[in-house]
Amino acid sequence: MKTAGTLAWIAAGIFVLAAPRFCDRGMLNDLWNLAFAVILASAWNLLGGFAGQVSLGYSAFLGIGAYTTVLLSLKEVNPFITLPLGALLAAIFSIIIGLPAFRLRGPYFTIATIGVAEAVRVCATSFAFTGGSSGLRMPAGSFDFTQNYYSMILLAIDDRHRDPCKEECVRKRARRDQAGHRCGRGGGDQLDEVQADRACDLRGAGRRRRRSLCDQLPVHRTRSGF
Amino acid sequence: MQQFLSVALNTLLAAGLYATMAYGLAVIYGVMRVINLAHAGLMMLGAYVTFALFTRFALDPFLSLVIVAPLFFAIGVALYWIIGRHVTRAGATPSMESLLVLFGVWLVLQNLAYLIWSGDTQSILTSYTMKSVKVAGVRLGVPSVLVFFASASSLIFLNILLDKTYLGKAIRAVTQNRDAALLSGVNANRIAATAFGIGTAFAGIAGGMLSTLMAFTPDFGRSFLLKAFCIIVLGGMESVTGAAIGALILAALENGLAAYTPVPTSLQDAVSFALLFVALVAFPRGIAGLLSERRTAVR
Repeated sequence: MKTAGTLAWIAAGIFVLAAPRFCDRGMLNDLWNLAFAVILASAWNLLGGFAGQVSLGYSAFLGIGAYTTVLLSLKEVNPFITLPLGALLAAIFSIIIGLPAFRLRGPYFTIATIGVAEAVRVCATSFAFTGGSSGLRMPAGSFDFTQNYYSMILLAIDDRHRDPCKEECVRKRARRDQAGHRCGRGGGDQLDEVQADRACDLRGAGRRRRRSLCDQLPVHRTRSGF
Repeated sequence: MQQFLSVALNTLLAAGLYATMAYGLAVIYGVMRVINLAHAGLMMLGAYVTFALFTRFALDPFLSLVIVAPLFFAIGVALYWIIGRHVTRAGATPSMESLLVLFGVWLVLQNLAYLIWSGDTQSILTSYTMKSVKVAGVRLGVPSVLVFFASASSLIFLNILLDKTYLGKAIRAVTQNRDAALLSGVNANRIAATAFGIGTAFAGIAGGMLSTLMAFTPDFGRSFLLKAFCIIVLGGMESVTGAAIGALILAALENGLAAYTPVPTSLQDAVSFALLFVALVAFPRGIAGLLSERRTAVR
């Protein structure tokens, strides 16, 4: 039974890695979206699932990653450099927001995160350097779709792979935090948020790239979802 | 002086509308300890219902409030019996489930509106939409003045309801202590349903009035929801008077920033959302809570 499971995992791994060889573009897009969902879900799970703090403000971090990538790419920086940079910026922003926000618990935390995400969105739509409400577009051909696909798949696989270990330490930290909460205000689990954001944000960068390359649509702001 | 007068009048007009948006949230929060994320969806629905009444039956948007309010009261009561009663609990803080389920309701309402009215931007153009009146030398749009009077009368109505009637007394009792209210024979479930209905009716009224002031899409309402949050957080979550003061503070801040600072009006919303964040973190018990904390500290 166990070997069957392992074999299935290996088969699935080979399939997603070899997919660009024999799948058509629509199928690849679907796989890309799957990886996208896996990464975002894992990112959210770190904070929402293990640490028990529901944030509806991930779109802000996603947006920071996306804007970092597109702004740097317009200056002809290699996407593989912009990816970690976007992650870093989102992480820094999440610390700035997280330090005060983690004084709040439960729904109050959630509302605060909605507020932050909306404030970031409003800023992004009104500043000139972000292209206002029509957004920005990646320069054509700056990131090959196959490369993009592999980055996403690797990130998604990597993310799943690390989870059991992470789950334990985050759980522990969350428990400690809960204890802190009972006797007043809990202490920081900012690290988790940072990790979550980093994963989340790499994904944002990937998405922007794919959009601009394959269908040349103007870049969509993360308006639809917190 | 003229500019100050203009800012003050505009603040007052905006505060009336903001208070209407926030009262619904405050009443629901007070009775059910639930943060009604669906409020935005209900405001949007209010705007569309007003729009539908206006286009189908040529009903004046302000007259249609008479239909919208009871209709939304019924919607609210139904929502409570379908969803709300399963997520209410007696504790001091709202449950995460209630937040998520109401967020879901909001998404459903939003997509329902996309289905029925499509994503096109709609607006209501009446004969007085473009007209303005001069009050003490300040030009004010007729719709905003009408909105102010409509909100003021609905707020007065709510205050009378809460102060003078048995229902209001029961709502206040449940707000203060659900268990004690239950012990003294108040049917807390029915009161909660009524309060949810009242809150929803206020969302509908606010949406209907917003539709006369600006264009709307099914996505509309989010920024107003956050403003309403900001107001009730400033006002100390469950106090209706607090909500009025919070509305005044927010409106004064927005109008003052627009008039006296170079902050562009497109960033106005960002200011109120930042204020929400700061208010939640710095004084989660509202302005009143902050003041009473000071007082105890001084003592």
